[in-house]
Amino acid sequence: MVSSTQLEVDREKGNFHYDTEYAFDAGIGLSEDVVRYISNVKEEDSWLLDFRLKALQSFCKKPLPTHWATKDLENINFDAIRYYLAKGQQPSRTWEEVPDEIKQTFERLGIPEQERKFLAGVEAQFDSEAAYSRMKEDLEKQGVLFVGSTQGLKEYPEVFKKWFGKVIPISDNKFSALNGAVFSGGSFIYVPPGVKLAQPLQAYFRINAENFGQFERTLIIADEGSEVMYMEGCTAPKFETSTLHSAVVELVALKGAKIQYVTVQNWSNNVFNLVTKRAFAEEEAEVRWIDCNIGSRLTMKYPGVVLRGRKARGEVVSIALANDGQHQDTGAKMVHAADETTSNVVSKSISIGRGRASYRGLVQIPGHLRGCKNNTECDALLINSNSQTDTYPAISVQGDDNSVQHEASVSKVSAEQIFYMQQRGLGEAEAMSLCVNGFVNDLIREFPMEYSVELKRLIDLEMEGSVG
Amino acid sequence: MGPNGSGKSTLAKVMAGHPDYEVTAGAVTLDGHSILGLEPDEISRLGLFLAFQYPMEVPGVSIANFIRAARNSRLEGEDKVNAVDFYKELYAQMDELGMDRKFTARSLNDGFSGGEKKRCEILQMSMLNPKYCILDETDSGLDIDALRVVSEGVNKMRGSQRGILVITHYQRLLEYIVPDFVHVMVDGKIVRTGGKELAVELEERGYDWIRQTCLAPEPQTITSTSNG
Amino acid sequence: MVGLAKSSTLPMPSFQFHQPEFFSRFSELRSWEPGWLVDFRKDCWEAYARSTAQKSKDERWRFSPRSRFSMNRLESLAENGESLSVESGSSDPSIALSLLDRLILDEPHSLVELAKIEGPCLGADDFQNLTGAYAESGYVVRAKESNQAGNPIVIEHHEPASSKIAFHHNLIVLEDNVELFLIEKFVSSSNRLGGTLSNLLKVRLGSGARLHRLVLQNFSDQGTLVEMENFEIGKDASLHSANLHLGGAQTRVESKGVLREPGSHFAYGSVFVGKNEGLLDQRTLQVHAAPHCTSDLLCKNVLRNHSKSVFSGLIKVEEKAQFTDAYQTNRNLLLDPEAKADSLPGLEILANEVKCSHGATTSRINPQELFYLQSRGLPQSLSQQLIALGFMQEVLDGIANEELRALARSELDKSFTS
Repeated sequence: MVSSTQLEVDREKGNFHYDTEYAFDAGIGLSEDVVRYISNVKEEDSWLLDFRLKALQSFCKKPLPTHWATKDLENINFDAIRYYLAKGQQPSRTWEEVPDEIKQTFERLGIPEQERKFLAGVEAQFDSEAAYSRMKEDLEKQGVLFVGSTQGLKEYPEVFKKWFGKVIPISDNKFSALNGAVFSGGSFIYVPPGVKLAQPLQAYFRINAENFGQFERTLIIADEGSEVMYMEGCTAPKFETSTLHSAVVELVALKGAKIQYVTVQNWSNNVFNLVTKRAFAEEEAEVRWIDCNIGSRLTMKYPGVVLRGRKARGEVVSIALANDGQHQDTGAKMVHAADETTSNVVSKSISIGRGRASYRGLVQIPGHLRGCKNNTECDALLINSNSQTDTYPAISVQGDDNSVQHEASVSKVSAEQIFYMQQRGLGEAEAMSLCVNGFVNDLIREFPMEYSVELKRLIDLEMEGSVG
Repeated sequence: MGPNGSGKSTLAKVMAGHPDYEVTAGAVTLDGHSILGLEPDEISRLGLFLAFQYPMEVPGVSIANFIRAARNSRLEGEDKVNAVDFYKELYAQMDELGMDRKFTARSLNDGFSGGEKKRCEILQMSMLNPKYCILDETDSGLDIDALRVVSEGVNKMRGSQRGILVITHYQRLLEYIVPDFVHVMVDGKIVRTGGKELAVELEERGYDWIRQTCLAPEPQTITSTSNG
Repeated sequence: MVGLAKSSTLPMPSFQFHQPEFFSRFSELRSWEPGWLVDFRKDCWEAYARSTAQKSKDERWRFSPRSRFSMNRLESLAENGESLSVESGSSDPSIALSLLDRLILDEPHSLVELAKIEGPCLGADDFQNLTGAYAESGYVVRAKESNQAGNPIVIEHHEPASSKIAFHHNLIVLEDNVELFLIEKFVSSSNRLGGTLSNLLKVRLGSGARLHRLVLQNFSDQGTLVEMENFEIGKDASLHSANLHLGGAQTRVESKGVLREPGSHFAYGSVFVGKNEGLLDQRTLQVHAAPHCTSDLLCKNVLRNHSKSVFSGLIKVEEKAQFTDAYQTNRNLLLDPEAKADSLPGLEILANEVKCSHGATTSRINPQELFYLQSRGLPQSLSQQLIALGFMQEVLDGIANEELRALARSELDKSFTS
């Protein structure tokens, strides 16, 4: 290794935790009692408890998907995880009201500062529940809702119940079922017809406790002709034992609406990040998943769009960086269910050291549809001789009026490129870093400015020590 | 000058420290110090610039960012290039080379025509202000207009403080860049050295003439190149 | 009726071939075979029995209408010797072309590679194992000398009669620097057969050897073919296989090319002309196990009516296989609303000095292109036909040898005009 000090320092940015007293603790391990405890603490209606219990059944019944996914999943010990931890306070409306150790945490991560600078609203989740939630007043007046999952289902059931669990059914997969059983936290957002949010809404997810599982649930409904951008960030301290993050995110873009969902995932290297994300796009609606995965031990995440209305558009833009000890298993699902729908997937991955990046895709166009198009591009960059990459797309097309194109390539930074840049005076590591940034540059532009600067810096840091 | 395969480009790459070559004998010195075994970037920062025959394409890395990074690599610690001054200088140089200012945002050599690539090489040369320049077949692939602009760029950089070694097959370039000395390389050795008229004679009589007349050539060291 | 082993005089019991009682009787009748072959048949049978006991979901059959390859409706083994004929264009004794059943009797030691080289193992394990257990037919080529493109070895596999299955177990071994031309035909003597052929081919190429293989598949629209092939390619050796699937009700193809030593090359091209309910279910694997090897795979399907293609391909580059060039392309042309193409192109790369890419497209005929041809006076159907032929031309262009290319071209033209 040339030098990894800077890298370690940065991992330190999220690598701290404060001792916290939790008023509610569901204990260790998963059982019906745990599910009832969570539902009871949240004072939920009986339909929601039934939903949770059904999900628990489905979770127990489903095998791990190791017939296609990595065997590393077998290393998750579901009996050693804490499924619910909360301080028991309501989300605060000002940072002053947030308990000190939680406030310290988010200040250290720079969240209050970002809120002042460029966000329309922020929710900060600490372990199981939101500690802070606030949105600009003018948006409130326009009828925008930005609340936690518990509040959303309790106070606005007429808005959220209709779509809750509909985009991703309970039994979609083992981990969405687990989330259904024990979910807490996350954001529920409703944007009324025609309202276009100029600034993004942000959620920040923070795991503070060891052996903890975070299971937030997010539901965004963009009513007809509305527009919203939502961003999520995340960190966790690097504990000795593994931590599980298993979220479910459902998006509903009604006629003509636009949703952009931006993720910068920088969990520490002990986190299993198994997330189900899917959107419904109705007539002429547009959904874009903009996704960057840098952290975690194993990420399995395949954001999807079900294109349900004529001329709906779906897009996934994805960057994955896999370093030693990491497996980024990411991809996209595009299910065309209406005429003239189009989808686009651009995925770029970088494997460093013994890191492994996989792309899995699904594109489906049934034969009764006309004028549907999909375009998929996957490019992988391999830095070291033992880096690994895989590509497993599945494309199913019927009918003589649809077209699909998938291209994938694997390359490395050539020795001649490095020599050329060295000849101009750049050090080898710096030349490599520039090439890698260049490789993902066009995708980084898709992220909001504040994020793209941070992303470039993170990539530089990950590249440190990869050469030589 | 020299025929195809005589080792001109190889020599240029060896001097620049290309990792593909292992030097088993001889020496390469820069201002009296050996540069053999140094990293390519160290040699570059000591003042040797190589304009490549086939400049590499580096997707996603903009020309401006790249040249700035190269400039910064020559400065110590926090003393980085001021962005405003940098762009002012960059635009001035681009104007002289007849390059569109929009080029600064384009990826380095990515999708450039042959002429654009060569201009970009000269742009980097002028921005990095090296002590010694090696131009490896910079004239190949250039039309007459581009050749004139590139040559003007090179001529502007001539001076008593800088050495320029121009590698070429043809006399054509030398009508624009008039050399102080002409060295002829055949089979890896300098077989003849003369003034600019040697190039003209070569053009008329061909390299076979050199081969025949130089049965026992005296090898010369490369440090004796022009200091014009 | 129940299949009979040719060499047996006793009648076989009335069990079906996938029942253990049938196999034990079969083994008894062939107990005279050399020990290694008896063991091999037994191992294959046991592997078959084990695999049928497992009922887990198999990714290697993803998107496949697997029931169309079910053996349940098959009743008996085809008569040995009826489903295969061979012809060598050369009388050179250094090109040994023989039939499996003859060799079992005369020179069983020359068959040991059959047990040593694996099958492709890309999903049709039942067929592969039963072929190992039961096959008495098959062709074996051992070449010490080259032949000429104008005098290729020609193999004919015949479609078995309805409700029968034939097992062919084939072997090609080329010694160092031998160049061999081989045409393999899958034919149907009438349009009313509808049996199943399970055809397993194992190939080993010595250093610098070159095999040019052309497959012409013209089974009836009732016939089923399960073709399994494994090519082991030695140092600086090259394998060119061009495959035309022009007939058959359903065809499952499993092709594996292993680039075992530096400098080896694997080129594989296929076309499928899908009509009616026709199905091509194709699985390919390019294994780069050594540095400096190249592979190129191109599969093109033209689908009309209710026909369907499944392409599942994987390029696997092992850690030591630096300086690999590997390509994989699947292109599908859908001509009718019910035609369907599923594509699963895959890459698994563990080395970094590689040039690797795959591409998959599925589309219809470009209406502008069609209009252009029609505007020159060609009727629509002929225009479509020309465009479809043009679409497949790229595969034919990949056939290096002129004679084989011309033959492939004329077969393809025939299938379009008939």
